[in-house]
Amino acid sequence: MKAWSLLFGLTAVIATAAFVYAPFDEDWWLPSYRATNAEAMATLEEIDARSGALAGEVEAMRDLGGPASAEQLEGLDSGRRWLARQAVRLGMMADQGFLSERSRELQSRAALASEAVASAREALGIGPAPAAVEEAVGALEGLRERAEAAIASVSEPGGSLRAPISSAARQIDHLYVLILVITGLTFVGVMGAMVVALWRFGAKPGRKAVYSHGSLKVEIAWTVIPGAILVFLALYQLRAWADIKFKSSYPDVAPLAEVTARQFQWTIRYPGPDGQIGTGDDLHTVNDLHFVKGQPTIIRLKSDDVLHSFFLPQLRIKQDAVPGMDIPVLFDADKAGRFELLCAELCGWGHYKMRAQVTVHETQDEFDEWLARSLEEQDYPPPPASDPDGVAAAAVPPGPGVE
Amino acid sequence: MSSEPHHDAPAQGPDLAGPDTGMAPGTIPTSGHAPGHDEHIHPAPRNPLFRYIFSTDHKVIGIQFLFSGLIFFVVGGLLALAIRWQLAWPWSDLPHLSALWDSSAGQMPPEFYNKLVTMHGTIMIFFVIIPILLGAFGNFLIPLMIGARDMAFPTLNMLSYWFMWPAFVLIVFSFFVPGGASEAGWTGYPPLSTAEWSTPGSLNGQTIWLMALLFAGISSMMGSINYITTVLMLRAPGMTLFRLPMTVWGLFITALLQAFALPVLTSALVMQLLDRVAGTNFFSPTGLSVANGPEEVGGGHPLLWQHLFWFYSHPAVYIMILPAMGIVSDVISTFSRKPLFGYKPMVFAIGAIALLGFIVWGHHMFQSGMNPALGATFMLSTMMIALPSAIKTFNWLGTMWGGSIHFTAAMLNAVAFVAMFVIGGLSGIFMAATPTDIHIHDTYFIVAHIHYVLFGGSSFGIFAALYYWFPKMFGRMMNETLGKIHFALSFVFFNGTFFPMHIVGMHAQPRRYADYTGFELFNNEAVIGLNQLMTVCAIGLGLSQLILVSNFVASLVAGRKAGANPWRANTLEWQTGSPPPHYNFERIPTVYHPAYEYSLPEAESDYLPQTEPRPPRAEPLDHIMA
Ligand code: HEM
Ligand SMILES: [Cu+2]
Ligand SMILES: [Cu+2]
Repeated sequence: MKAWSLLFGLTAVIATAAFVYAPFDEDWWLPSYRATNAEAMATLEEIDARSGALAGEVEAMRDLGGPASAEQLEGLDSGRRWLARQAVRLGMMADQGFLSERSRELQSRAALASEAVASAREALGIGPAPAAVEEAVGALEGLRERAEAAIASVSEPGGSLRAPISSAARQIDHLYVLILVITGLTFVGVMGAMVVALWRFGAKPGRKAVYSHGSLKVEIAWTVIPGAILVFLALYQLRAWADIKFKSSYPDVAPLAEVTARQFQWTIRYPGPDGQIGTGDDLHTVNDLHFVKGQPTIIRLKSDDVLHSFFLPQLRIKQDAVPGMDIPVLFDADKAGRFELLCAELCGWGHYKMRAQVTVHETQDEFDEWLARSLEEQDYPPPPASDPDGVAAAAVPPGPGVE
Repeated sequence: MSSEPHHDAPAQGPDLAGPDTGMAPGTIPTSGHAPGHDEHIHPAPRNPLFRYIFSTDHKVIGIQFLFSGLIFFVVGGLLALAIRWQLAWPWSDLPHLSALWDSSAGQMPPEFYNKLVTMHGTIMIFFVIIPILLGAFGNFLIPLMIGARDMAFPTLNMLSYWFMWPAFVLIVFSFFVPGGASEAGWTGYPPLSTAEWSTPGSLNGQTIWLMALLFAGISSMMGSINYITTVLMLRAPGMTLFRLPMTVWGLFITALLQAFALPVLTSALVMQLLDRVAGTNFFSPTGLSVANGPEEVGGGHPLLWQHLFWFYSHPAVYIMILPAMGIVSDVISTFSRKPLFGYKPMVFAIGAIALLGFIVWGHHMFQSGMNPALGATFMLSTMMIALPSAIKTFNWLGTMWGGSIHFTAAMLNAVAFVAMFVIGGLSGIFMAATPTDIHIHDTYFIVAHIHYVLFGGSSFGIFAALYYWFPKMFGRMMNETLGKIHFALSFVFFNGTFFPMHIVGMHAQPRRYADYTGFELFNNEAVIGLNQLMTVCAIGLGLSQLILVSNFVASLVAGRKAGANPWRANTLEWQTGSPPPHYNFERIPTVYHPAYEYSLPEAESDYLPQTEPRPPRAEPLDHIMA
């Protein structure tokens, strides 16, 4: 029955196509949140730009001698309408789960700004109104700042097979493609032979099967050739493995930080001014890892309780954290930006939410500045403000559970 | 006391008439048994309690294992559907099931999700695949295929089934203890599994889980000893080792693997049990404190468990595939009407897999903190284990090539086995390469691999075996049309369910996450959409099995009567009645040649049972290959 050969053949073709296509597609393989939410990102960027411009426009009316001109009032009107529209769009974005909390906050800020602009317009229609102008400018600036922060909070894209963004990723992705080619050709060959066999050798009255128990020559061929390929693969990959994981190949740099996993968070400890980890001046962060672009970075990985695993998908790094062990982990990134750290080893009911924000700084100076600022905040805690970004930012769906 | 001579009338009248039954030719047995073996036939017990329940008949025990395994297949499958529901529509109400986690809201708590993952894996591996392949088909087929009247130790055999019952009861009961069932994954890694307060399932559920596995292990050990002894000692005259059908080779080597690997698992289970209940510290490092509990004295190491567990569980994954490989070899050869291509290389390949299987366990620990240099050696052995798997695949293709292929339901499932095993084997190479495993480990890519070998492989193998041996087990034919519909739907939905897992896995979606949408990486339409597609296909896959169940039940009561040898196959089980009589063979058959003499040009029909000598004018056998 030819239909059965077709079923197998079609499955093989679809499988091969999907397997080969998916990892090379930029939007698919570790796609950027920006790209997959392009419309929402455009809204944020529009708000960032236009609310700044609008603030300038309003600002210019602070020192008017009399009522604003009809043209100016028209500008304020259209600004107010635009702000109201943005508030609606932001509300929809929040409903769709795009940066939910931030979008919600932006929505109320946009509504506020719209009101402030409306009352400034009322006042300016009558005469000079510096106070109303001030308020509207403040509201617009606040909106602009929040929009900017929201844009900055979105992870950087990167890490597709076409554009690896770390030393480990370059080696691993190269190997991945090599294995993909070898296994892909094998798969196509094997399935091709199977489909042809099913197609050609279906039972027909009057035709007898070939009587043969096999052939030594063929057996030797299909033992030696795959064997040689497998040995080649085994030897070929040793270099990458040694570079990524062998302590002996690590560069001689001081560890950047000590990362301790515990149920269900990453606590990270950076050396303070004395350059030593484990002294009183250390910086402690929770779910917030920072390092510098282009620098080989080593962290010491520990666990406080059960097993966890330190997984940076875009940088192709994974290492289990084991209680009682202190494991140095080496990585780097070619690209500044924000990434995500995942826990990859089952560690209890909250495993799925063990997320940390990773920030790769463009320069050492930028990193130093961040470190100094954070140390300052840690030493002189300002009066309890709203939740600092990052700690509770990990989106936690409303799963009931015991703490 | 009740040993009646065999010439008394058979208890169940086997249909021994017909040209294809091995009416023993009058040749003198060439090897094997002392004469007089035939004298010890016990009649079937008359009391139904001993005939059907506490039976020592390997066929009854095999069918008992089959039904228990299939029932747990349904349980494990339902757990899987609950997992998929949560992944497609995180935190949405699961219809009608909220009673399970006694909360008024319909949302599944994350710890319940972890229970589902743990119990699904545990049940499928230890309560479905192993009991069906080894317990059901091992028991039913070994004595029949080697020409024996029963297992070497029938009472031990009965015990091996009844030792599964405490395991069955415990594993189900564990859902109802305080804290609920285990949540540490089917791999049970400490300290999550040993620290009582690490997660609700470690409160009591884990202890029950350990005890259930201990009982299942004892059962498996009893079975293994029996199979090894039976294959070595009870072969019919003329049944040399190299005349055994591949199914028996697969089961025999699996039994060896099991016998050597299981003691390590058993000791590890006992150690973990002691860590949990007796305060020992095999797996707890010094000063360990979980969930702000008091510090442990410690002195142990969490990685020790992983070594011991995988020392068993890597061979265990081969325990779950070698019997299926044997089954598929037999089915493909029979329905291609062609001798198995490279019988001896196939036997050596199984042997090589078994040997190498003992030195690759570390490939599950590449990222575990084990010395990476040690990882490199495990990488080498793991690469090499792909070789015998490749050889077997090529030989199956060689068998079909030039055959006269009959597309029966059994054959289709066997061909699907080959195709799906190729995908599973090739994805194994990505993971065997230590550097690529860095990215792939503990993602959905692994889950895809597991399911291509265990569902695409073992389970399609089980389907093939069911369609193939159902007539022998129950004396009736299954409906072929329904069988083919069941196959086509299962095949399509299986690929729809599991293939996209490779893709979200490459994409880094981690396994065992109750909700991946909290991460920007995965909170996009592509990943969520694929997860929804997988769930829809999984529901389809589950529903398709209803066809199998109804076909099975309907055929059991109303199927067309099967003759002794409906597939016109060569092996010994087909040379006696369907179902076979209590003592299997009216006379112990004599074996003249290997099992795969199909389409011999000099023979009258396209098959030649092992009980009939090769025609004198046939060319001598190719002794290197066959
Ligand atoms: C071609 C031969 C194979 C190779 C090279 C191979 C390689 C591997 C490797 C390296 C892993 C560990 C991946 C990781 O966790 O990072 C793995 C996992 C696994 N393999 Fe295979 N494999 C092969 C065949 C099989 C077969 C035949 C089976 C079972 C029938 C199987 C079942 C499994 C299972 C169940 C796991 C996952 C265990 C877990 O972590 O839960 N594999 N395989
Ligand atoms: Cu975790
Ligand atoms: Cu393994």
